[in-house]
Amino acid sequence: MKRRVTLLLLILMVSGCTTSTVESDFPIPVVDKLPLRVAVHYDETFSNYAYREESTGEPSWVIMLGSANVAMFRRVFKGMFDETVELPEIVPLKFPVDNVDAVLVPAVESFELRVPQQPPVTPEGMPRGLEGVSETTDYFTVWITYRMTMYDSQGREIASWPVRAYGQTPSGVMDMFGPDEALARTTTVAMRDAGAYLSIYFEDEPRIREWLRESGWNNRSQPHRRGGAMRAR
Amino acid sequence: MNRRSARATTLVLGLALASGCMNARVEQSRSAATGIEDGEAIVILARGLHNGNETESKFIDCVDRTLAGGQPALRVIGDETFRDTFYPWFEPRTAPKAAEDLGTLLAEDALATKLRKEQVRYLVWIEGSTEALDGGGGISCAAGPGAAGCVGLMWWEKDSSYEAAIWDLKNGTSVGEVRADVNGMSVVPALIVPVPMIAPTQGKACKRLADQLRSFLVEGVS
Repeated sequence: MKRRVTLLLLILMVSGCTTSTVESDFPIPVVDKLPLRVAVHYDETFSNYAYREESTGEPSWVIMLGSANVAMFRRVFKGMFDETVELPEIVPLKFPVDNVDAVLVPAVESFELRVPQQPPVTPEGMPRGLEGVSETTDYFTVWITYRMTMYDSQGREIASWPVRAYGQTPSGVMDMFGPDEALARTTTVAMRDAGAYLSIYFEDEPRIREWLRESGWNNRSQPHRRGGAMRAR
Repeated sequence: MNRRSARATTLVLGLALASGCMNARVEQSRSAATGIEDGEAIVILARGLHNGNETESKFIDCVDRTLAGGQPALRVIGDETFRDTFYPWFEPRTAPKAAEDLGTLLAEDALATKLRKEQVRYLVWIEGSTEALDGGGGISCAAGPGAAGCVGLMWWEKDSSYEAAIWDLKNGTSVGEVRADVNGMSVVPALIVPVPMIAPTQGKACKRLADQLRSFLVEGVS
């Protein structure tokens, strides 16, 4: 297996660049909806986001995830809130925004990847990934950190918090579908992870919980979904 | 036939005979009565994707097919369909780790309502793998003008070991476990042409586990 992976990586190094386009088909989360009308602003940077990695002596990777980002958050917010509306892509965002309870702005803060048999540090000596794995692995791994910022309708910031996501697929996926598809699938797993975390833990973000309580949207004083179901990493 | 060739022949015959047989062990432990009504569904999920212990997806597919196709046939919801339908509760990071977490999970109104609507009764977590154990021998092949052939013998042992933990979503409890272990020897004797005799341990483990699961769920008590 390792020999096949190495061979494929060698072919990639010779052939140059792998481009992956992430699929845009995400499920709507089955969660109790909050009775809010929320405006969402996907700016151009977010909706056209592409990750590019080029290092001397290593294969280059390009991952197009902008449209999948928008598709994923559309589905996630549809499940989370009673009603959502989208604001125009243009920046800067203009306030006040009429007839909404809040405005949400998602952004990609960081994206990192590791492919099977890739050294744990880049040729420049930088560690790969957010978890400090010190050995080569047989997995494709993707780490994405989204930054969510929530404003009230007047433009006052309610909360800004990171949503960290993780996706992993075994190298066998590459044998079946090729490295571009393997990376796209791994990125999809990480994006689903982000959507899952956001939809389950939105109300547990302290400043969101406080705002919900102050605004009378939610009288629960304690987080209601922090059970044994989700294990912290 | 001298003594040496007689011994070699005996070894070949012994391995060839051994290749036809597999040892299977199936066990179960029950902590509550079971039973399944018309229309109720069962879901088979692989455990441990993030821990690098991914149960082969073809094994899960095999258990799905066997349960859906046998007698009595059970209504099986596929892994991917289930994870999408009940997103975000069964993703690698959010799925319940133990039956004790079911109480918290089923307290989610939207999820509990959908589980009732889809009539999902049992959730079965499967963990395990098929691994090659000891092996030996070798085959040499040669080709010349007008002739080619191989001579030799190779053998290896495979072990398929899988465990299924069964949760009752209607009652929010663990109802028991079923375990299947199948061990077998694969042999490839070659006298001009190699003749592989592969022990299908994974297929056998799938069949045994699925049959035991079916009787565990349908018969209710044992």
